[in-house]
Amino acid sequence: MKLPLTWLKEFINYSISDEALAKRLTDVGLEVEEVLKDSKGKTILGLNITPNRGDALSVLGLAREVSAILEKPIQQSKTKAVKLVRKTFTAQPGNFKNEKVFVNLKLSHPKQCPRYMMAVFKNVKVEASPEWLQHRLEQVGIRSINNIVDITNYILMAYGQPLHAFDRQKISNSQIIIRTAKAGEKILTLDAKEHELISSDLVIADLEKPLALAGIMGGLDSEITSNTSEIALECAWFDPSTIRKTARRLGIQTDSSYRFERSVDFNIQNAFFEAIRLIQEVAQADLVGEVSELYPKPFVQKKIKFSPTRLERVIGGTWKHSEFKKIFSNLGFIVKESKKDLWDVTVPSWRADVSREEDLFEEIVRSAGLDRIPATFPKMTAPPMSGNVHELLSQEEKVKELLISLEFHEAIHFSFISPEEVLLIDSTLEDQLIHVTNPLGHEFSIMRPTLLPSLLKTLQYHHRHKITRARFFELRNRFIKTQDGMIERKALSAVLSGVRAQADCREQNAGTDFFEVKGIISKIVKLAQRHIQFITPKEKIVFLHPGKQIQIAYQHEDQTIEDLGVLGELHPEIALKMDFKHPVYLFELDWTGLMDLPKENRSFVPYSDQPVVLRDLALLMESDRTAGDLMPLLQKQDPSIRKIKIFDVYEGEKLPIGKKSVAYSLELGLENRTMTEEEINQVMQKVMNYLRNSLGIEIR
Amino acid sequence: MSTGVENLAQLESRFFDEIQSVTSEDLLNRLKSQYLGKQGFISEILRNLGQMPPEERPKMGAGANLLKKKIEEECRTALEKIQNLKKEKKIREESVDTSLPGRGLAEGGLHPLTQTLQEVQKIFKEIGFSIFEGPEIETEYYNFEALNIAEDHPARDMQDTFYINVVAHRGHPESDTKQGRHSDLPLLRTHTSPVQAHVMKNHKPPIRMIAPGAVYRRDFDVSHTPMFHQVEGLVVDQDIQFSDLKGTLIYFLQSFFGENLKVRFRSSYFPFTEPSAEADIQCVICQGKGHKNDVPCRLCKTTGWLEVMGCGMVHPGVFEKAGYDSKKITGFAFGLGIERLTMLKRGIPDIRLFYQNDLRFLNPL
Ligand SMILES: [Zn+2]
Repeated sequence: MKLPLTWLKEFINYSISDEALAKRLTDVGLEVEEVLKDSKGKTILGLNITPNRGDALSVLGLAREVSAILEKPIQQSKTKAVKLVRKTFTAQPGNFKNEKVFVNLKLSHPKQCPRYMMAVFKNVKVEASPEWLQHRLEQVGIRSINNIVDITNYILMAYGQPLHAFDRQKISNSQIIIRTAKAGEKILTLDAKEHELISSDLVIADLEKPLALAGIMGGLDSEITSNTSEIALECAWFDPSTIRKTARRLGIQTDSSYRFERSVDFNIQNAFFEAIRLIQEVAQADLVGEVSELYPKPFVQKKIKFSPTRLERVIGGTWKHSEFKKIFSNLGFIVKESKKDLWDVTVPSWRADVSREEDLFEEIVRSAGLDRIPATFPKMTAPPMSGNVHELLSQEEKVKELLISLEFHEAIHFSFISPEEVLLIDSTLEDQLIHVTNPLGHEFSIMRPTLLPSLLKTLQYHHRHKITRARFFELRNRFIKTQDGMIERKALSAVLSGVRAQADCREQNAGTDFFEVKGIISKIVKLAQRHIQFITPKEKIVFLHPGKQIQIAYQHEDQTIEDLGVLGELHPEIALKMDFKHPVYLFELDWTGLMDLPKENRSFVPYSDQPVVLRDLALLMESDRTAGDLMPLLQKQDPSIRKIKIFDVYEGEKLPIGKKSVAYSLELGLENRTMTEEEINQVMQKVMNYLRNSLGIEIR
Repeated sequence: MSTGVENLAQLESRFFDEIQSVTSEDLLNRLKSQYLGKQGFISEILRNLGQMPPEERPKMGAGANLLKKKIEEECRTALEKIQNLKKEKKIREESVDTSLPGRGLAEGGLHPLTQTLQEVQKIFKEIGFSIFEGPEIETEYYNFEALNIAEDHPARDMQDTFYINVVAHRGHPESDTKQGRHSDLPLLRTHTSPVQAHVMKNHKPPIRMIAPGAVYRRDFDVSHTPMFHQVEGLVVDQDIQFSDLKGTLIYFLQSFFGENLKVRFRSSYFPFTEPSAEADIQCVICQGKGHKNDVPCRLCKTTGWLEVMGCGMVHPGVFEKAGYDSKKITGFAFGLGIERLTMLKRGIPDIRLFYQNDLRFLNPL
């Protein structure tokens, strides 16, 4: 909202500086965003009016605020009231017929249009506006069209009351009907666009067709042109939500609809009388007969109960009750002190936003200034609330610290990406994508079902900038559509390439590998005090190197396997498509799933002072045998086997093709005594027999 | 072999010649046993004493023993020398170029937004706030209606919303959901305020909570990204006053930005609070003066103030939706933008940088 201060001064006489005025307005909640100068060097304030303050969208409305701030009166309008013929209704809305009127009014929807006035003029001279009028509109950024249209815009800006002028001769049968649209009915509006209407739209129509979209925009047919000689001028109060629905649906916002949506003063007549005076003066037109009005159920000013002590309790600080009265009266509220602590406060007709006691509190505090309120501290009356996420957040903080120490950077990406980015990695996700109805573009059109595409894109960006040693992780929600609905779970995902962590400048060839990533997952799980298993996926994970991938899983007590994620090397074909010239490793862990697993109970474990014995076993096995899976099998062979480690893996010239040698170290021991050499040999024999006979593995 | 004392002298000089070229313990031991061993020269001389003329025997015996001592002594010295050289060599070999950088100093780091989020959470947790999270895909009910933002109120224009397509089929992703809009319509939350509504639904007062998280609005330009982060706060109890809101937010802002920071409150409007206010802090660039070095401050547009938070007393309509008795309890709510706080505190010029994840941006932060 632009407020030319020269215009403001027509309504109120004041003497403080422009800057001081701007500050005072901002303090009462009418934020002055900018201070501008017009073509003549006069100050114009640019205000950001919040959506509740429809009343402040006019020079008069702001003058009222200035009047309250400075405690100076508004200058009374010079306009004389015009003789008014009011049609009174009984129960049902109906017709307005008066012999002296040029148009007949018919109102069938008083809820959508509680009040409608019309004045008719003849001998109208449609021409360019006088200079003063053109300048006023220029100051507020409205293009001058002709004197009639300009006067309606002038009244809109001055009083906040939108008006509409019809070419009276284009109204068939001189009949104006205020009704809702018939579904499918069409109207061609002033901007030369055709709109198809639905039954909740309110129109101003004649007997044949809609002439205007009520409160939003007039029709092209009945537009004021230089040939117009008779006009019908409308002044109405339309239901805000009706206007808003239609304006939103059709995507039209006009100065008129903007004000009706925010509610105009229900005392519309003063602005109307001023408009009538201007049309008579500026366009030298003759008012025909009397002004007609349909107003079946006159508005009543709201009365709200106000308790001064309740205000003190809700706001805090100390107040004088006389101060409340002064603020209310400065703002046009009328106070009746019916009981000592329960006042009746009558709300002025222009303040549609004030409807509860709390709204009155706001009027007091914004006028008195928030500086008046002391700063106190709320008393703690209860311990922290149940259901909070403190433990989860602390786990997140810990895992992030761990990854940072492993030289990862945390990345944050938009939650929406393009479907192609997901499908490049995993085309099986197509049916699980959640689409944004109104995205900012195709590249932001689906919610990420995995964090990996965004992370890979960031890695790719760095590779293109010659940074091939980079590691990123992200811990955020991902979104998956299932048959049961939309699932939102946190994932911890990472991508990495280049030299492994903790390498120094002489170890630049020590590239990261599968086992570094596997080790990271183990560290994460250990830090989170959970247990998981690494299992060979039943079906190959499509986006990972077929020979360097593993599934992260949890085996529940009922033996069901819960999938918790994957890790491995990015499939070379995808790497090629994404232009990666170095191997890329990655993992994605279902963080929500991991957090939902039972937390490891860490309590004392008795240990034995008996010495342990180490025995090594070198095994020759097929290259594709998973040597790690042997460890639990071997451990089962005898209770004296405490631990098993793999300490060497060899594959090469010295061995037959297709074979590898794996060396295991077994830690043996009993709880209560030292094992004898014989016992040790027996256990080792048992293990070797098992390997040879049950697994066909050769001992070297 | 020649006999007599000359023989001993020859032997001695031969030994002292030979020991010169001894460089290792092995060679030394070999030399030593050549001379002193059971089959060595000295033993041989001593063994052969009996065949000598008796008058030469004592002299020869004494000479041989003396030589033996000399050789032993010399071998000891040589051994010491060899061992010292060996130790020195080992130390020399083990030495490193100490000017090279330490291992594992490649940089990693938390995203600056996470750093701010963690700091904000810590400050509020210390003064007894509990932290809650809520879904990012919300329903229209929780995002708007539960917060007193009616469908046809212009307040909805304050937040341009992304909707989620519930009936998207393949090849038909743009099916129209506008027609059948109702409260369950899924959308991307436009603020973290719906978490308030969820918490109030599940808890009775007193409530003292914050809700951090990502939010979404259809805006993408120099000063807006379509996703950003907020922290929402809510305190509900008997006798919560606007003055408590002021005290709490001043405490927070001074903890975050610095102890002597000036904070002001001015009236504003939010549909879910009444009265509503904005909290401003003194400009971080010009220290609230409006100008720096006589140049008008661009950050605060010379006002000296920066808007950082929206806040207010919880609107009774919000309590009524939650099933609370708005006559018996009061509360305050506030919301802040994590990107904005981070930009102000760390001097970041463009909000879009947060989402590019460029290491040149992330590393120094
Ligand atoms: Zn500044």
